[in-house]
Amino acid sequence: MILNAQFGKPERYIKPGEFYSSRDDVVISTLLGSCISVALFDASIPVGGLNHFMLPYPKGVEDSMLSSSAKYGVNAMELLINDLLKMGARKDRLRAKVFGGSAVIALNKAATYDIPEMNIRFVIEFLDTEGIPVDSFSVGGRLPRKVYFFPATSRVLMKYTRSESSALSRREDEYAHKLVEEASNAGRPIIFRKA
Amino acid sequence: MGATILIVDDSVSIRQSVRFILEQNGYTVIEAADGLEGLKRLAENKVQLVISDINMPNMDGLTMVKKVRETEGIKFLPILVLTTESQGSVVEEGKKAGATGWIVKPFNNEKLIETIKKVIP
Repeated sequence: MILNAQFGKPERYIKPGEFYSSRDDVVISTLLGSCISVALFDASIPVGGLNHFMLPYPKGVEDSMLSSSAKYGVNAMELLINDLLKMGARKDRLRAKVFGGSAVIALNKAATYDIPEMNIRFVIEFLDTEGIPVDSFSVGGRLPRKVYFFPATSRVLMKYTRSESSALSRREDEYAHKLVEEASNAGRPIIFRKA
Repeated sequence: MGATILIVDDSVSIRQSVRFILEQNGYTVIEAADGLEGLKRLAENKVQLVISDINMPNMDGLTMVKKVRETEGIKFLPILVLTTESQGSVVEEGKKAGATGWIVKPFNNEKLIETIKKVIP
């Protein structure tokens, strides 16, 4: 953690694929392009966390919560949810704020799929299915977003940023490709004993 | 008619996606949202395999596995743990509790079905 002088709090910056949650008076930040970040919190503890993820590019035409790419989104959400539950949160008290899904990648990639749109649809559907209310959101558009989440108060500060657009796009694209690789050699099951 | 499989997971999304794959492969599926409900379903239904998450409210998956291992009639029921936990110590804990196998999420559809077929041929 480094001290953020502007807020006078320790800051934890998270990269694509990471998440972080805390019960302390810290700031969790990230820089988003096409990816999605969900700030999830149980204000009664208070505890909150932020993730940063995207769905892997689909192999074929897949358009549902049951698709294999959606499973990676479900997983990103579940990792954060489980972390919060371990810190005392209750699932039925969780609330969410949703950010990202801007057309940063789509700008330089003539993709068959609308990546940001797919990510946005996924996260809204997921939260709806799990019964987690969405308190606020800022999604879509063309500009990257800088997000600051304060888990102690459940507050989020968000600003659009123009500065790092091309580096961000490259970073997210690398992350998306890594995901496809991971998807094809996903965890080998272990069998402890014969039934 | 394929075997009946009980899915125990507090996430509706996970239950939906696992159900979809299992039904596509001819299995009959019943669901429970936590360990406690899982035990209740097992008392009410004849089940050939359980696929269970670990981190759940009311009763976690490993506690449920231990309870099943102590219950006459379902003592030897195969239970596959399907979880985000991949840490060696947690896997070892699962083995000790009496789990039959361990699958880390996000899972691969084909590997899930392969594993099920190995456990209940």
